[in-house]
Amino acid sequence: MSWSNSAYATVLRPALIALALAAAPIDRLPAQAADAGKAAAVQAASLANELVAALDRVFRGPHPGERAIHTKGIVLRGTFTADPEAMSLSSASHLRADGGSVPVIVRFSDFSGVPSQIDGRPGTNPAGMAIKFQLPDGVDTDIVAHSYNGFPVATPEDFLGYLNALASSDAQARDAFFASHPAAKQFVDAPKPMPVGYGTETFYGVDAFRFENAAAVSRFGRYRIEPVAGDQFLNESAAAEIKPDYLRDELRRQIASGPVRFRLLVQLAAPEDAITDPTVPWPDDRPVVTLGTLSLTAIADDDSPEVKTLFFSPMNLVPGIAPSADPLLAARTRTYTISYRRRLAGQGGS
Amino acid sequence: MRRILTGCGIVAFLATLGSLGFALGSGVEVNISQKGRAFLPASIEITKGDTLAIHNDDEYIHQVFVDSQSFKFDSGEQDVGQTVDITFPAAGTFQVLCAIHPKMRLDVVVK
Repeated sequence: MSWSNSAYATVLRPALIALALAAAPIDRLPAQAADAGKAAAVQAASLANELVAALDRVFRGPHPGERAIHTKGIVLRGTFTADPEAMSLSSASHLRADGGSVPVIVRFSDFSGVPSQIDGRPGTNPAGMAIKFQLPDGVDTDIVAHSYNGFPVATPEDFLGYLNALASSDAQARDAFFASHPAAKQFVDAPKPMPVGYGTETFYGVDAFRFENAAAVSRFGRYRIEPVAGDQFLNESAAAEIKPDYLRDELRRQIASGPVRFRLLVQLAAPEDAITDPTVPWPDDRPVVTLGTLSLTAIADDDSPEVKTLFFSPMNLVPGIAPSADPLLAARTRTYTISYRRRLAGQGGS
Repeated sequence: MRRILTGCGIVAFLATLGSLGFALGSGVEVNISQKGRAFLPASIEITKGDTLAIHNDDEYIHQVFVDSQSFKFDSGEQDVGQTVDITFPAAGTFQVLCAIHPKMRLDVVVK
């Protein structure tokens, strides 16, 4: 005996779905949604590979043993000391003011995926700042930020379109993409002044996170990392005189004369603010919570195994901080993972 | 390895459907736990068509992926308490990894 398509559709399939629903734990998807989820999972995996390939096209990679983007950088060590105000926002252990200082590893980087990027040339900005808080028992948590308040696109698919437009030699196709994606155009066209050093510009964690305190009160917010020395940029004549590695050189000089400090802040969202769209900066009048102070005191050894295997992800979180539904968070993490594994394998490759 | 059948009633129901000539697949569900930023167990052998049910028993979010020539999968954000199902379409050796925590690795042999 066999089932006709119509009998299957009207009798058997609903019965199977009902059966699956009855048997499934409550944190599992029903059959139809699960099928869609599997298809999306396969699609997301392919998209991440396409994103890395697109980065390679933009930056003429892959460059063996290197990151696919934010390639040229410098790693520092230091500490983070929480502000008492931080606990009002999150119960995360590194934000407890009574917990003492937490060791941190921080990596500053130029924007591009070119290992020989010359500081000051296009591709330097927005610079990157990635922070790893080293917590007890081998646990860590990260913040990934850059020196522009926003992201060029809002979805992984548009990120691929953006990279393809950058890599394209077809001016018409490139212009068409930027005409239909004004945030991307603004990101490309925005003035990107050269800072005096990595320690004199503000960095923004462009994706929103959900912070939850010990009383289970949640707020959405975005990281902002401000230099204690204040924002300082080179004037035109000074910018014309800079050397190819001046950003790293300046940081070494600053560290030699004392710690380089940043205030770690969170800008809180108002109910009307876009939580899942990092192309839209929130108005400056939104309240800001001080989480604490980063104090960077030493340049790390680039050849140490710990530095060579460093991996930062905006999704590397601990209880008290959760991701928003911003789809770029997972897509960026997968893209960085592909780049990371390729880098470790010496194949080029965040 | 712990294999779960979802109850005698379901087995009987599936057997009946099988006798009617309707293919439902022969896979079973194999439970894997994520705890302490590790997969437990860290390696497993299954049969083609089986489904790995990967439970986030951790206090951290994860993002499970497989990136092989024959099969690609990405769970996206996997919340604490959430289960991700992966059904391998072919025999072979696969690595299930976490995009967020590079030290997490599950070796899967599909026969």
